[in-house]
Amino acid sequence: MMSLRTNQEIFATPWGIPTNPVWENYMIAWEQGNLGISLENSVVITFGSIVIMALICPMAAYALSKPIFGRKFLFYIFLVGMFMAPQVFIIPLSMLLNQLGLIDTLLGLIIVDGVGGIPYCIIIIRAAFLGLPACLEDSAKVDGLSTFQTFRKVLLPIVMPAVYTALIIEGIWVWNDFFYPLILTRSRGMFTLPLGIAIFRGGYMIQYGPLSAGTFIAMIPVIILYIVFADLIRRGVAGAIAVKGAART
Amino acid sequence: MVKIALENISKCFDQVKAVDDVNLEIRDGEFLVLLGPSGCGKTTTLRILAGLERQTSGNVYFNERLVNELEPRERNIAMVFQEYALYPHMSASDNLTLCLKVAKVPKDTIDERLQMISKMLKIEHLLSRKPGELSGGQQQRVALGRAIIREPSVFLLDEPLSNLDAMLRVSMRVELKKLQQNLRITTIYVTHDQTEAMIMADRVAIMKDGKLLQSDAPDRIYSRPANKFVGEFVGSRPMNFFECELVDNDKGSFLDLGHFSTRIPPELLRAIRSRTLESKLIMGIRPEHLTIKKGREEGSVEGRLYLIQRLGDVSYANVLIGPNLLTATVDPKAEFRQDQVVFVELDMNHICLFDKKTEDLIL
Repeated sequence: MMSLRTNQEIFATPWGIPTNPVWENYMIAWEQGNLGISLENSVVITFGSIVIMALICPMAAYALSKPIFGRKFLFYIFLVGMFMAPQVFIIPLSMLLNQLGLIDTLLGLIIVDGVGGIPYCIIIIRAAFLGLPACLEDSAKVDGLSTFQTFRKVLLPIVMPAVYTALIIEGIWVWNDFFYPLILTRSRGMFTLPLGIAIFRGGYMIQYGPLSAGTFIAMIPVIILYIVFADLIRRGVAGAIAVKGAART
Repeated sequence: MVKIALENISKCFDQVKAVDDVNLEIRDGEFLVLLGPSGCGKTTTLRILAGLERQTSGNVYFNERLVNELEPRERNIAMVFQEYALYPHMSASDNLTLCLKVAKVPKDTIDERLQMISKMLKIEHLLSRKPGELSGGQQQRVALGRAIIREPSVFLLDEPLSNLDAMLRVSMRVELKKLQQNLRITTIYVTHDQTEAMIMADRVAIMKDGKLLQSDAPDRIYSRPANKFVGEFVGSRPMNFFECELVDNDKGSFLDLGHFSTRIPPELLRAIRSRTLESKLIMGIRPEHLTIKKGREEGSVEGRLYLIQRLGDVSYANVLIGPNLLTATVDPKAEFRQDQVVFVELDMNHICLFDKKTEDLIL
């Protein structure tokens, strides 16, 4: 509602219905906020980081669920990674990206967001692997499957709900992330949606109309994705139950 | 077809010795049952045979070929697990054929074998269903089919019937035994159910605390148990045991069982003496070799009827003789009442004598 009103109207009646809808707010948000580019950047970064997590996390989680030497130590390193606030290491990270020529690039943000989500994904997916009965793997070995075939054909499909859960949660986090793009990008062309919208929140004045319109635009892809993948998300969130059910058979 | 040999197999998990110096030969086409209580090491032995577990010491031979280093897939074995271990995301048909697809068997052959196996196990109508949509018995059939379809040289079955209800278990025992007889594949079957072992096995190997106690034909295991534990464990009712002392004086030879004594023929005494000089023994006798009568007869022992267990086709009487509570088979039609005084006759031709210290069979 606020996206269709002027600042004066909003201040006069904060909960009111727009009497004269100001559709220009969407135009302002799209053009001044450069939301077209920001939307594209957000999609690329979110998709790219999810791909990184999807490639690395299931395999790493599987390895960490096996009784390999140093497993606990490695697992605790991942845990530490999850509990460390980005503010603690953002300066060295920014310097590192600068040296690698990745500052103010989409690839830089994809790597940072993708790698940042790995610990959380591993914890969720590892728990799912640990919940699987050992006889499934034994059965696959007897059936002649190699370790990688066992992982890909037998175990991974069963823990997919947990993988969906982890990737969906991390994907939402990356989509909404404000801090990394704020520090690691410089040019307007590299802004993500949260940064693009934030320009309507000036030091002296907040343009609530365009700000709300931008927020609504940012929500649209998420809503579409939710409608398309509703079943997947529901199964993902109910992942633990699904994996348990699989283990019983 | 494969002949298997286990040579001095031991397996330790940290400080626990799960399998302790097991030596066992399994003949070509034989149905061998590994029997024992929970935690006796029978499943670990089976897993060592499968190559899923590496023994701490000892050797495994398939047809005199050392297979210690071979992976399960290189041993040409098939295994049915207690929980069936069907892949829950695959249909029954995919579960059955995955091993063939991995081995890159031509599609025509796969289809042909799938048809044959599903017909043999009567699961043609279940092929498109996933394991979660199958009953326990159906899952068990699919698991068996998955084992058979790859035409292995050895079947390893780890308590495959333990998750089925009693009725289904009885019918599946028969089917499994017939299947093995038709296929003549060397089979090693793990169970803790002695009835299952007795019905299905060509030979039973009994384990306890990681050790192999006896391996013999089921009737031999039943009639001549290698030690007291085997006598107790095998049989729908355990063997009756009495601590006794061998008395040999001018009045004759007796087994003194405390509250009563029983005369033994001279040839039995000679046989005992040829095997041991110990006088303190344990006598074992099966319930069917005890006869319960209402009236006293020569050589019978007086006791009190403690309880009658009526199972329909057979009845068991628990009789108290001094401190010993023994079990005897009685005619289900015979009329006995609780606390009645009865007289028990022991068939001395069917007794087993064990060493009191080692509990091993003497005679």
